[in-house]
Amino acid sequence: MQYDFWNNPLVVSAMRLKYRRSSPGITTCLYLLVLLTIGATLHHYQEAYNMPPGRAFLLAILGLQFLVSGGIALFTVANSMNAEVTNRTLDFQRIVSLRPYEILLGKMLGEPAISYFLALATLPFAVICWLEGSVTVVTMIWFYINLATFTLLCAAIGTIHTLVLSTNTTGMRRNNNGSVGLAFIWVPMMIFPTLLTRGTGWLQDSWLGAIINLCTPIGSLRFLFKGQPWDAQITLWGYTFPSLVVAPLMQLVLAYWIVMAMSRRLKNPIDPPVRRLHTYAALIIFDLLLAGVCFTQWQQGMATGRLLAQFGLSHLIASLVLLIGITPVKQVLVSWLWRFQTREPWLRSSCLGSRSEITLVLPIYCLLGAVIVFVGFALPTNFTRTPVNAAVRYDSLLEVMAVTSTLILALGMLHQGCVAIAGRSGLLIYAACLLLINILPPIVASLLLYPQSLRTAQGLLSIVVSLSPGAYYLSHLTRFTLQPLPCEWLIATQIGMLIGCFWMLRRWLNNQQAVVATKLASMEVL
Amino acid sequence: MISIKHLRMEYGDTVAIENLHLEIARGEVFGLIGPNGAGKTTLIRVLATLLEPTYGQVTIGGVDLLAEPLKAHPLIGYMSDFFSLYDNMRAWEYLDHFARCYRIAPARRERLIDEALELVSLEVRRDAEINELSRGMRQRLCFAKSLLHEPQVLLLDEPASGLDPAGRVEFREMIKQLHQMGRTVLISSHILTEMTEYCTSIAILEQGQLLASGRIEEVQNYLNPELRLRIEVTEKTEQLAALLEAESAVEQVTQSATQVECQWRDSREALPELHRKIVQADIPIVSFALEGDNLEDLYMRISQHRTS
Repeated sequence: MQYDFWNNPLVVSAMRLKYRRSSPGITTCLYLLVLLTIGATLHHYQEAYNMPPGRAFLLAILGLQFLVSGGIALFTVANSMNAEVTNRTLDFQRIVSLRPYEILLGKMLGEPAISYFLALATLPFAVICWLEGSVTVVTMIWFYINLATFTLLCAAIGTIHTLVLSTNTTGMRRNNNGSVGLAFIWVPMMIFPTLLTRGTGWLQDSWLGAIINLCTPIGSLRFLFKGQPWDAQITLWGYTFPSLVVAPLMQLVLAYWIVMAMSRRLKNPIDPPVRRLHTYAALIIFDLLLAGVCFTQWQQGMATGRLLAQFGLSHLIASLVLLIGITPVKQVLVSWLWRFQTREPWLRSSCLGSRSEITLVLPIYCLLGAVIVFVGFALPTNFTRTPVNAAVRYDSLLEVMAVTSTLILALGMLHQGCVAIAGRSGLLIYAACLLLINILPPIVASLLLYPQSLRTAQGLLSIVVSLSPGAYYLSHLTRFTLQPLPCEWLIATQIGMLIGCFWMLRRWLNNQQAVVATKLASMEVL
Repeated sequence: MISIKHLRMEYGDTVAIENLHLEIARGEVFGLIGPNGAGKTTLIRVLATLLEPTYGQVTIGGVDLLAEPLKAHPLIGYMSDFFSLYDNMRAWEYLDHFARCYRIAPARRERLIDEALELVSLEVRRDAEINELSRGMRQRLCFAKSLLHEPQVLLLDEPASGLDPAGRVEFREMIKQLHQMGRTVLISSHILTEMTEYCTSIAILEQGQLLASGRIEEVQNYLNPELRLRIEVTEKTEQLAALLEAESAVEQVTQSATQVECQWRDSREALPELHRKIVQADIPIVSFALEGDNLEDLYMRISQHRTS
């Protein structure tokens, strides 16, 4: 039954329940009527827009279908997961003979079944558009592949849910029902201002455009509007890949990643969601894409210093995000001390284990970033440099990677320390520290140094401001600063924080280890 | 069948189970007794692979639960104290869902569902939606679900708590039936008087620690070595009292008009000999009764009612 999706019990039960009282046929007919109305309206007002009506209709169908299918998949799966956790029915699912990924696949295919039906129902209209010559058949097929993978990705995102039912101080059960809704509010809030201020130009060249073209169908839809959907591209090391082909692959990879992480949680909710080995692979893929984009932008004439800072900042953010997925919290570290510390080889446990502290993972992340920026960006620029395009300077590379690596080590260790020592509130403390580290130096600089004359304050001002990692990267990225901020003081303070956090973590671990040893001795195990 | 060694379960600073050792043989109906917060539910959830213990080794049918939880799932049938079902499903659909989840072959599925519904007397409500069923019926349906894949071990957490008197009688019969079928059942309950009727062994837990465990008679003997003997006669109470006082295993003889009571310090096996002596002394016996503490008395006596 492993790949026999239609016989998955969750799909069977979802179908039984959802269509007992309402037929999917009626919903689909109503939806087709809506599409027909849209088509008629577009046909009626075809003079009002500068586009063949067939293409306009196809764009409307696909745009609406991406929203409808994605939205339905996300909300139905999220609601189902939430209901399973709060009603504790998930406990029964967790102990059946199904493998965890089969449970999740059942949820992803069964709960949003109507979204797949509706997508299929639009096919006849899409065929009419093709017959009218709006797009080629290959393009249409790729758009529908995009639609399927996008829906699957949304369903996979819907499965992300805590599996531990927590209670607040009043004893009421809490759930994260609102998280998906919040995501839907926040994502447009983040994207619309950019759209308003920069138009859609960012889809073509910019950093954000590469990510959007890589992971979403937005770029392809935008270029369908212009009649050239294959012009939405991602360029890596000078080679272009159409978004229509790359985006489904990336969406499948992301969905697979999420399913694997949630499967791990279903199997054992204590384990951190992501395997360390998987994060190394993810970071390598991410850094290679980054290096490829950087090289392309270098070929287009962008300064190497700015590109290095872009790489460093992106690598730092990716590393910190991945660390959240693998850092063991207090309970996990304690369980490692109890059960695994003495059984697993130290090196293997530190690099590949799930529950040990992340001290050795941090240098691996740093090393991966340094190697990939050197091999994927610095070396190619040296081989292909021209009088116009200067190659990457190794001192600049060394500086950016030194800052990035120090920040990964220090902030990673701070994160580990916070979640280990402070327990549940650790992540909040970490976020607050991260915010303070970034905004405090500029605030202090503006409060203390503003009254002094600019000449006497200039040196000190730049030193204080440079203590903020955000300010450091911004000074390299923005075109409006006179000169980039120095890195020595930032590195020195971050090394100080790294040593402090490491010492605190070791001390806490040693204390816990002593407590565990005493308890084991009292249990007559040792 | 179930082997627990050095089991420890901590929730932060709270120790729910502390260094528990327990062996449950195949075919036992094993009762877990203890106050709220003693660690009964935690223990059952650990055995159901829903909770990972802080330390210890737990095996069911030779399968290490921590190393191979997925391999242990087909061996376990679990019913929690908080049972929630899929309200919009019909009774048979609910069982069919789990039959599929346990990969029961389509040919056997239908028959097993019917048998399970019959066992819990829900065959007439086969097509009823779960939200139309009473609490007791839902509980029985949940129990049927636990039996569906014919697990070797049944883990039942407070299974009879919401049942009416008739339901409890039915439930007791079902447990006895399962015992006859050779299934191993681990059951936690507060209703101690009923547990004596279907449990073959018990464990008394308090503050996560095991106070006593074993077969019910062994636990009773262990906790209550002094048996109280009460003999009712029609006459010759003086002679009976004298006879008893002459016995080395007898202490604290008290007598009333037609009755003599004493403490019996020897084993149960030595009692027939005493009975023979009384009969041979031509003392007219009306009743010869041994009064041991029942499970409730024993529990109340050894428990301090402390919780973790």
